[in-house]
Parts: sequence; C-alpha cells; structure tokens
Amino acid sequence: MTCLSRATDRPALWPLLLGLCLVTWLAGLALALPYGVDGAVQRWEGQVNSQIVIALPVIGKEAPALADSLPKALTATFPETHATLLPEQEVSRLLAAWSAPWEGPLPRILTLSYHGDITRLAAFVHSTAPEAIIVPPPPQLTKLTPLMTVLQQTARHVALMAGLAAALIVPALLYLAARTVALANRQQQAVLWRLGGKLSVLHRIFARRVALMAFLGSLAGIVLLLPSLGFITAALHPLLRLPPAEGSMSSFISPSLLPVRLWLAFSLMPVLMALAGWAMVHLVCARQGQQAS
Amino acid sequence: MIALETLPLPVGTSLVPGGVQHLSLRLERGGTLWVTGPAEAGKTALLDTIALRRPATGGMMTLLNHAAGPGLSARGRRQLQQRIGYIEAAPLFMDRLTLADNIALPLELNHLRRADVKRETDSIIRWFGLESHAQLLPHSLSQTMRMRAACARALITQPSIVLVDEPALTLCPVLRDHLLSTLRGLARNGTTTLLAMQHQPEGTDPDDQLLTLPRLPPSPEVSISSASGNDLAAPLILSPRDERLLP
Repeated sequence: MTCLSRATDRPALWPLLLGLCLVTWLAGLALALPYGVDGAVQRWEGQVNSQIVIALPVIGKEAPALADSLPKALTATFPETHATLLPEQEVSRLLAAWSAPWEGPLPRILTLSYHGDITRLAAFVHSTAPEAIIVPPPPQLTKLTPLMTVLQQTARHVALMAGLAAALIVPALLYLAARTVALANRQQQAVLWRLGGKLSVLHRIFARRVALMAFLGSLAGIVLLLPSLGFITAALHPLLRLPPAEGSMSSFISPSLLPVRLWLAFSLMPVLMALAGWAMVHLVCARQGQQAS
Repeated sequence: MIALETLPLPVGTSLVPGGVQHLSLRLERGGTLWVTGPAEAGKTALLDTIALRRPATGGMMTLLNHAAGPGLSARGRRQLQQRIGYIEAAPLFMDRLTLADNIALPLELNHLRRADVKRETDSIIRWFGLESHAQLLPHSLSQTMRMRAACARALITQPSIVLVDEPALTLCPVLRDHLLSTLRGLARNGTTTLLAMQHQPEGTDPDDQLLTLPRLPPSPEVSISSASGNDLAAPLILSPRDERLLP
C-alpha cells in the first residue's frame, strides 16, 4: 500500500549499514584465514625438497651394471620413489655447478623422492651397492611442522572467536535497527490499529527496509573484503613462491588458497543478513504487539 | 445496535468507592445517546470500550449484532473497528501524510478504488471546510483544524456507529453545530451515535436518550454528593489556616 509506505518514518539506519559492513568484512577475513593458512601450508609442504641423491662411485667393473639394476630394484621395493638415473650431461652440469671442474670418471647418480625412514632405504641400497653414497634432503619439514601447526591452530582460534563475535554483534545490530524502526513508527502503528487496519502491512514495510539495509551493509562488506583478500594474497605471493600478481582480481586471489565453498558462503552472506533482518523486525514488532495488547 | 450487559468500567474512586461501575444499556440502530457526567465518571472509558480500544474485562458487549466482549478475535476486532467512527479527545494522525491522505486512510484500508477514494475524500473535505488545508501536514494545523480533520476521517466511511468525545463538541461552537447536524443526517440513515459531555447541551433532539454516569452501586450510603461534596478532608500539606481554600 503506497500510502502507508509513504506514511512510515524512515529513521537513519547508518549504524546498521556500517556495522554490518565491518562485521562482514572481519568475519570474511576470519573465515578465509584457516583456508588460506591450510592452502599456504600445503603449498610449502609441496615445495619442500624431498629428493634423495644416491651417488654410485665408478669403482670396479660392476658399477655400470649396478647403475642399471639399482633403479629397478628400488622401484620394485619402494614403488612410489620414482628412482631415476640421471644422464651424464645432467651429472656433469650438477658437478660443475657444485664445485671446481670434476676430474676423473663421472659417478652415476640416482635421484628418488622418498618420505619414509631413511635408514631402511640406506640399508637396502648398501646391501646392493656397499659403496653407494646416500645424500638425504635437508631436514626442512622437522623445522616447518611445529610452525605450521601453530599457524593452523591460531588461524582456527581466530576464526572461531570472530564467528562468536559476529554471532553476538549481528543479532544485536539487527535488534537495534528493528527496534529503532518500530519505535520511530509507533504513532503510525497506533493510528493504523485504531482505524482497524492490519499492522502486519506496516511490519512488512519495516522488514523490507531493514532487510534492504542489512543486504547493502553486508554487500559493502563483501565488496571491501575482495580487494582486502587480494592485497593480502598478493603480499604473500613471494612467501608462497607464486609468480608476482598482475592484472585482474582473479589472478590476484589464488583459487588454490580459498576453496569454492568459501566464495559461495561470501556470496550468500548478504542474503542471509537480509533474511535475518527481515525476521528480526517481525520478531520485534510481534513482541511489541503482545506488550501493547 | 449496541448492547452492554454489566460491563465493568473504571470510574474515579472519589465518585464510586472501589473505582468500578457496571453498566448495562441497549441502543438500537439509528439511536442517539448522550453520555453525561462529571470528570472521571467513565465517559471516555465507555467510548474507548465500545471503540474496541480498551479490552472488555467482563460482562457482555454486542456491537452490530456481533459479540464483542472478551475473546474477540483480532480479525473480528478489525472488522468491527472499520465500522466504528471515533472522534476522540486527542486524535492521532500519521505525521508524514497530508491531511487529505490521513482523511482518506479508512477508505484505503477498505481497498476502495483510487477514484472512489478521491471523490469521497474531496467531498468530505469540502463538507468540513478543510479545502485550504488538505495538502498540509497535520502537525502544522491548529487544534480546531485537527479536530475537523478527525471528524472528517471518522465519518468518511459512513460508519454504523459514531462515538464523539467531549472536545469535538466543546472546542468550537461552529464545529459542534456542523457535526451535530451531520450526525442527525447519518442517524436517519441508521447510524448509532454516542456523544460524551459533562452536561447535555440545550436544543438537542427530544428523541435522544440520556445516560448519566457514574452508575452508582445499589448501596444507599454512597452517593455522588457525599463522595464529592463537603466531606473532603484537607490534605496533610495544607495548614489549618489554608483549609478555607477547599470547596
């Protein structure tokens, strides 16, 4: 009813809009934090050097035959290691990069990816080639794991606290807005009630307004959140060994860091806030009606 | 038709000990009843109860052949309220709507066509001489103009029951005469009218009925004169010398 829509008072709902914008932004950041940390940890773990090098000194006549049989034996015993015999050019390039020009016959070098017990591997290799030199990867994971555990726990705690804070602040903001609208229109409600009109018509108008403001506030928070996440991800690019960010937002925010369901949650947030605002107005007005009667 | 049976109504304790009077009355369709009595006699409470703004806590009330006592549903209350025009002592308006929109509101609530609403509103605005104020907001108007607007809003739907509280009949003699002649016209068409005043004015229709409040309980010891007259005790804050200030 356009007449009643014009009749209703429109109190300023800026506190609701700004409050929901801020809460959505903070909640979005907090929600993205555990996913971002998990993504970063996975990326770091993936980049940890797990390559084991086995050098077979060229001593005796059986060395060439051993260089051919050892990779097969390793693959048979440790199937996922992908033992590979490096070609001579690669070996010479490696040795040249490692130290002064290599004099003498080139050793045969095997590389394999192995995450298990290194003594078991060494025992197997030495049983086949006693002269083999096994060079394990540097102990990166042992240093990284405690740090990553702390990071993941902190991220989860921050997300939980932010979620709890949002669960308290959002209903409070919506309640205040609903109450403000109801109080500002107390006279309009009284007139309508006295004339035998349905108060629910007015309540629907109030609910629509509060829902719209809640939607806009949350949407503004999401709009603020996207560049914030972009800047944070861009700042983390060197740490994550990602290529420098260029161009559009989609290249800014690495999809591997934040999953699709999180983006879905972000896009649903304004709708959920609007629904919560709509429900809160009806709740407040119903309570007000009960008290009045 | 209005029928009340032992309807409890509040009354000043200086008039009736206990502060409650029980009222029974029957007013047929097209009848006019003058409700008179001193302040706090329960005149406005009676109008409020019949207008369904004050819940009836007991007794029986029948309005327009519908039971309107305790237990009346919200839907029933709305339907009856739309058939009752109440010109109250301090009328409320929607402050953001113009006077014309406020007057048209009861018709809008009845979902009349826009053209009909405009025609009826223009007509009643002319009838009450509000043409020059129709597009103004209510808070910018004088008390008399607001009362005129309240009369127009209450009568625009040609309600079956019209209730008029005292200020509409005492604020302005011109408005009173205009309102009374309008109500007589409506009564001829079957509108039942209740008017509340301290004293019935002269020159009223001899067919009009009269109800004097408060309705005293059957106890012979209690009377208005004894309650409101010379037996008043001096308040403690008055010194003996000041007691001559009392009536």
